[in-house]
Amino acid sequence: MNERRGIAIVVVLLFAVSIALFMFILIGSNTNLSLQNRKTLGQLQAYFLAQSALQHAILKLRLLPKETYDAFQAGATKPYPDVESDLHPRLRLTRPASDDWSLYTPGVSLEASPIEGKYALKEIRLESSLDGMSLVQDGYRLEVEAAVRGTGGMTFSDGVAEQIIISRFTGGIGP
Amino acid sequence: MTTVRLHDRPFRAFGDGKAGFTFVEIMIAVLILAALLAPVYQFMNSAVRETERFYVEAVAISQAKFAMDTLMFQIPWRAIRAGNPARFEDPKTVPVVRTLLESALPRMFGSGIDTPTPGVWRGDGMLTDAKGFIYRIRLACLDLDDVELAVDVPGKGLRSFLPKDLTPKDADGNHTVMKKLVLEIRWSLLKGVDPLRDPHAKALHLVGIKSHLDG
Repeated sequence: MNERRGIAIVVVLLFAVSIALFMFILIGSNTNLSLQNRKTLGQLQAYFLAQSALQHAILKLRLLPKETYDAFQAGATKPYPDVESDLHPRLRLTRPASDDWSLYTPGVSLEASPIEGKYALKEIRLESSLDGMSLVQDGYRLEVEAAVRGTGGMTFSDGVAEQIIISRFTGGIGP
Repeated sequence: MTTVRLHDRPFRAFGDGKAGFTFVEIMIAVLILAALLAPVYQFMNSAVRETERFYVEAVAISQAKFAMDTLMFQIPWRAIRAGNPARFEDPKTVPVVRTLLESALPRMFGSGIDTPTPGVWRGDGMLTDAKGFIYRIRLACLDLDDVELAVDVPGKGLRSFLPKDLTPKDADGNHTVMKKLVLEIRWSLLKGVDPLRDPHAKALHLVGIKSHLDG
């Protein structure tokens, strides 16, 4: 019966191992939550930048419908080379020098951006044209992409594609 | 024949006197358990705090998504006016736009957005969640009136246009066609504490460029 001596310590050590395992799982679960939140925020920012790119391209279509149509008729494949945030100083999204940049800081410059990222028009295609007596419309397909640098060196990207019909002569926006 | 008297070892055993735990074993076991449970208790405490931290972070992200979605796709471009904080006012005073602003803005920014002028709101408010955490939400809007719009026509080259060549002045007297929207949500990890008074408050930002697609 000497082999049963010390059984209590063995039982306690087994218990210790199971508690350690439980703690390990709990830590992992909390770490996942933190990572998930960071990913959600990064993905959300990429989504809004992609939507910004899409709006930028649609704005040009609505303000310059005739010019855009003429460009495609002349054989253009990339008539909008400037729908890219990095090409416009005021659209460029680069992080401010300070990590504690905040809108609540008096006199903060809005030219800086609290996030780092960029957007661009990936493709624009003239898909159809309607030259009726009273209706002249062009159908375009737009595809944009955006990327954001998140915390911890993670990069998030998103893309949006949309089809839009624009009146060739009245596509411009009113006052 | 050997006779065994049970009362010879009364506290050691029920059978042969060698089974069961010794006092020393029990003491060591108790010590190990105590050493083990103290950090477990501490860890469980911090885990509860961490879970709350992730909860408020998730609430802030969700609120930021709702606010930015509404700004980018629902609120008319002309009603978002430049400033930090931004101002909400429809220069055309269309009743349905006013109703939309009255309904959406408190959900986006919470309380504290009213101004003395009817029909004008500030993009700066405060929300309190079901658990009592306080969030400050602010929107800044920057008019981008000098972004060039170019079209590359083969054979004719790149033709650039400024917004002033393409649109009339807006309600603020500018030829703006794009606005930069910066949203900040700030929160404290302490219940009931205003994040603007907490030096350890957390914050997140979302940025969007809204183009003039109204009308």
